[in-house]
Amino acid sequence: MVEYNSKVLDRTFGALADPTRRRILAQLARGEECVTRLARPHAMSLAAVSKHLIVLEKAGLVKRQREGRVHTLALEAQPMQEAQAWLDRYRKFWEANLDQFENYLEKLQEKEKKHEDK
Amino acid sequence: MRINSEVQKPDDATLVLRRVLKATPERAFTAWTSPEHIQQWMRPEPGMVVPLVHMDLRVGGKFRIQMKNPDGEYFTAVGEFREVEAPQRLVYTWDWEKDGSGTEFGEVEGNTSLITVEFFERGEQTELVMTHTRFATVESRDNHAQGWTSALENFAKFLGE
Repeated sequence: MVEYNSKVLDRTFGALADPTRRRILAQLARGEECVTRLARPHAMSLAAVSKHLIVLEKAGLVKRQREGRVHTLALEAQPMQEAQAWLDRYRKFWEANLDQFENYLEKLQEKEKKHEDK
Repeated sequence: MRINSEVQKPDDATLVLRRVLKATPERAFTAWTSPEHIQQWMRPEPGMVVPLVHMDLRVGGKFRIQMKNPDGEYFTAVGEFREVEAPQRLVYTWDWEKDGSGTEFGEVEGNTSLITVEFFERGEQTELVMTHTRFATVESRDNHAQGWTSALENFAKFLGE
């Protein structure tokens, strides 16, 4: 099977496993933001937002640019795509297998019916 | 795509597949877990065969499903049963062997994930609900799974634009 970078996936899924961080990402998905603007809709202190941003940065989901005292944040696509690829691999695998499983069960049923009719 | 199947339930768990089966839960459970049945239906790609299946169906028991494609490449899945409640519920870990061509358990890739399969009686049919998550324990999955399927979906859409 295709090898996936386990550490990258751990960090991506770990970073996504928090409602506040998902909301921050959703906000960034609409465009770049500065840190103070990000804190506002979450009714959080700047320090609390910063903690979440560090997690997101470490996961590579967010990129920070500094212009003087203003920190601008932008969403980074790559790790999310890898996470999506991980999901897709299993979706395809199990969808194909569930098709087979379903067909097999139906065949089993038919066989048994024939057996009973005899 | 069949009408009676559904993939990914937003705001629930990681990767959820649902399927309505024309069988009782007992029959479905048996077909899902017996080596001779698995060899008949497990086929993620056309032309694949399943040379070997090992199943120790009890909590702490291990399984190994060796699949082989027409090019002779092996894809061997292994794992351990965490919950076995016939015919309703199965929880097991899932990993791939690095090589997979042997007849005994081999070294794994180590990206262990967790699968929960549930069989619900729906009149004369059975609904299969399968949840495949990244996390190594049920607790961890439940702590982490909420909501991020939809998050990923939204972002996939966003990234695709």
